[in-house]
Amino acid sequence: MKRKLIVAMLGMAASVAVVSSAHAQGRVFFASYNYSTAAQIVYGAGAGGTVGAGVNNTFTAGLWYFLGTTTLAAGGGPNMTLPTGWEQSSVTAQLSTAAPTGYFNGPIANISDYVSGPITFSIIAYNGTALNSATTTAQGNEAGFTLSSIASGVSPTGEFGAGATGFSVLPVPEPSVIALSGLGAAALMAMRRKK
Amino acid sequence: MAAGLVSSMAQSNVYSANIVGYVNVVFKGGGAFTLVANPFDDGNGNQLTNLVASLPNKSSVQVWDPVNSTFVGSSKAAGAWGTNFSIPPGTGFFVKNGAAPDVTNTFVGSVAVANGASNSVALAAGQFILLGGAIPYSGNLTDAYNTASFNLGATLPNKSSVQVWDPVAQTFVGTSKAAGSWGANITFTPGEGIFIKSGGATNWVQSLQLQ
Repeated sequence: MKRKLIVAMLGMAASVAVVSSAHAQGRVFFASYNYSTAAQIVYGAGAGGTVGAGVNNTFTAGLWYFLGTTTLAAGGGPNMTLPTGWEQSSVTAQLSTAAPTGYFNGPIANISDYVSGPITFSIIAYNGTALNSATTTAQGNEAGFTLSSIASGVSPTGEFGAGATGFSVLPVPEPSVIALSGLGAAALMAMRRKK
Repeated sequence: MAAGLVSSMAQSNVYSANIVGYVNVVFKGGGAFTLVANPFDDGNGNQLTNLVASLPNKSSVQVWDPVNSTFVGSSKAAGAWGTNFSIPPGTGFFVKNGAAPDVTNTFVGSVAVANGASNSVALAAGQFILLGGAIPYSGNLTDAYNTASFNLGATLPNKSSVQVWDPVAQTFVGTSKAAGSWGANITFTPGEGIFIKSGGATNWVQSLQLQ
């Protein structure tokens, strides 16, 4: 009987925990151009546009996040992968169609597994259909920046703030380009050996 | 906050022939939030582009989704809103002014309720909802039940709570109801947003009764 009671109590505790986590959710405005944020996404060298100019509206912005405090360097180019321990939000936004270019103006991002405390974000951007897709020719991610907390419950939703500073997208060489480069290198080596 | 219509019919620049009016609301600047509600039907879909045309770029708004208990938002850049929400009369929403100075926004339009008619909002038990008066009445939370007034405090049952936003302190000010009494009084003004959590299922009824 005693054991049954304990099991029942544990069951209740577990169900309470499940309810509690189901309601835990944080929010942040997924926008790079607002009162406290000015984070422009620009072309890096060889990424298909003028270096330093805002990317055009063929690009899509997405959001990586890490529950807690961590660091992440800005990056880009081929084979971008979600860093260990990070998660990707389902939120996306198209880059602006009008000046100023290189900014996006998305919806509120809901972070469903956020409870409280610091959270680290990295904005990503890519053209084509998705990160690393066959049609993607440039992509990149912002250096991670940490907010001490984000809004939850009925509190109004905040912004990324000054931690979001922008980043460059870098070229993703097409497979044929990589193959040609490989062939060229092999040819050069062969010529050297002949000499 | 200046109010037109019922509470200020005597103002010279408020026209009453078609029960129209205006309400001036100040959107705090410097990155502050202001909680407001649309007090009128603008006759044009009540879209952000018209309702809050005074807001500059880098501003944002967020409306409450009571089903999912979260906000949905939109921000303004290059003169356009990310999503041009429609915000019906009586709906509350947060505004974040994208500029440093305060901005005064004028809500203008017709009262959503015809003279002699009523507006009823179903309040579910224990669920947050962000509203404002569908008729631009002023009033107190502790006022007696009277549908021809703001009529919120007497409508809500025990275990209910209401919260309004203090734009200076940037925090909610709230109170709750127990044993038929509110912990504190709150004075409501037209165009003000209110977070309501009803202690039981009820209907918030307001009627327009002009002579």
